[in-house]
Amino acid sequence: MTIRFVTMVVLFVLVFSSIGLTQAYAQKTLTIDLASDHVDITTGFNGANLILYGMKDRPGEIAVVIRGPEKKMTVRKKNRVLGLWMNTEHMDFDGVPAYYDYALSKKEGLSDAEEQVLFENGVGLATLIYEPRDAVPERDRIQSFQQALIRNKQLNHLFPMEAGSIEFLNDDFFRTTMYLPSNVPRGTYEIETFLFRQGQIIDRSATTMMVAPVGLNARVYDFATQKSFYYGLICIFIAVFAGWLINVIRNK
Amino acid sequence: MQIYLPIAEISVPAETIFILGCTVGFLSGVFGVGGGFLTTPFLIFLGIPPAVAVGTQANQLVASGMSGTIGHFKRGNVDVKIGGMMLVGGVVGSFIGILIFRLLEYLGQIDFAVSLLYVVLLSSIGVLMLSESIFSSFKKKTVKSHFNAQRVNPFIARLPYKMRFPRSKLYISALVPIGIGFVGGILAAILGIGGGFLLVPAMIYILGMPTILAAGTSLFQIIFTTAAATLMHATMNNTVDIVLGIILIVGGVIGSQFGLVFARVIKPNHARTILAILVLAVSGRLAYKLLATPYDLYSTVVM
Repeated sequence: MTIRFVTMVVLFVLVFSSIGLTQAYAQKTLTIDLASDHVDITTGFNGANLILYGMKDRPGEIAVVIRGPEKKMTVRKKNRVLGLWMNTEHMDFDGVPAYYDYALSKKEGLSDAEEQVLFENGVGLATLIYEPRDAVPERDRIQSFQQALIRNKQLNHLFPMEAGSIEFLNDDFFRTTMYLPSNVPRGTYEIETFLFRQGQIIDRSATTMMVAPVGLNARVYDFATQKSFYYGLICIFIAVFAGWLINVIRNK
Repeated sequence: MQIYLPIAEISVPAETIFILGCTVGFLSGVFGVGGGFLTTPFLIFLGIPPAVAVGTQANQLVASGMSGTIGHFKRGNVDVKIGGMMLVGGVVGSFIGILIFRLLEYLGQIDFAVSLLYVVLLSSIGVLMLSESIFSSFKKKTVKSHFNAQRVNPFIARLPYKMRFPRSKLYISALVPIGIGFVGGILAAILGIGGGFLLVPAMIYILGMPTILAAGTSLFQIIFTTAAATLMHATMNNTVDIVLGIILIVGGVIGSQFGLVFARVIKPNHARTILAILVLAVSGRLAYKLLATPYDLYSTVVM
């Protein structure tokens, strides 16, 4: 009796939820999902792959962009002072994403209209040129600092060298993989996907992902930042103990 | 094996850090030095932020100070009263050192300042040690003769707040040990070094302390000064990485045992020559970085 009742409830739920799902798909021409919505920084963390799956039901090209938390960056330039190289010039930039990467289903032969629509939606290296906080008259000087910012981020694998690829598993189902290096900053990452055709955005879909330490790393970090005095005392205690230990072994 | 450092927020090869700890431990076993001059530049070279390198190194020095002091203390080679005065200056010096460090970091000059200070200190110490060891291999007896029979500088003799320090048989202004400790504290906070190589000569030549007491007392006060620096780095800057610290300390415990064995075999004069060459090599490496045209003139930091 009860088994039959449970079965009926399950069937009921299944039928209704599938109706709900088909309705949702009918409204949406672009659907995306992450293989995992969080990246855990564990003690052995050495970078991670971010896998995004998506489905589209209309023809068009796909662009995926991922942005880390925004930071204030300072770019410094060294000059020779009395024969020694020291930082003498700097330029500040606001709102620079701590991490940025993007992927395109069509990398070559983009029309001007397509290039334009991607640029307007923050897709591509060209969108990573930021204006300095303080007005600087010399355009050349600004450009060299802007380029240095991108170059430096690329060197640390926090900005891409070029667009990543999007793999199509069939006409509508696609997948892309982005690599997050081991120095990836913690925080909330925003992922946007665009379906575009002939210079028009047909649909867009956005999601977020968390990058945060877990386990021992998280506990050490929380303890060190929230109870820093006791954390400091523990560090000192460990050192005192080690010093004493060296002595004990020495005397044996 | 890569290990993620929770405070430095980067992943580093654990073996490299461990070997560095062993090497520094070995050096402290052979020469009785803290080895901060080797650790801090190397950690920065590995990509660890300078503030974390210095903060963690201050913690590391508590361990080497502790292991060095116990032996001196048992043999009665610590003047606790002078050490106490020095550590008062040392704690204040660490606090000011941390403020200077922050200011330099804000101005974007911290790497430059740390490198330059190291070059100046290490090259002068290295040259002094090297010339002394070369000199002493020709004339074996004359080295220690000028350490005793100190005459106190007239300026120092006139300073107020005179105190008696019975252990060292001194009657001198308390400001002098406080001042020496103060300089040590600043060095500990900015460079991540105990500063023994600077403090011991200062205690011998300026204070007029007996050599054997100077070494023990310097180590004794380094424990407290670096402990205070550790606590301040941890609370004010959050720059003490306990994971990094533990790897360095474990390496240090192991390395120091080999160092102690080696110390019994090698002649003191040869040991001093090797240390002098090592100090000069580190200094040369840092000087090269300051003088050579950088690969990229631009650098980027998160503010």
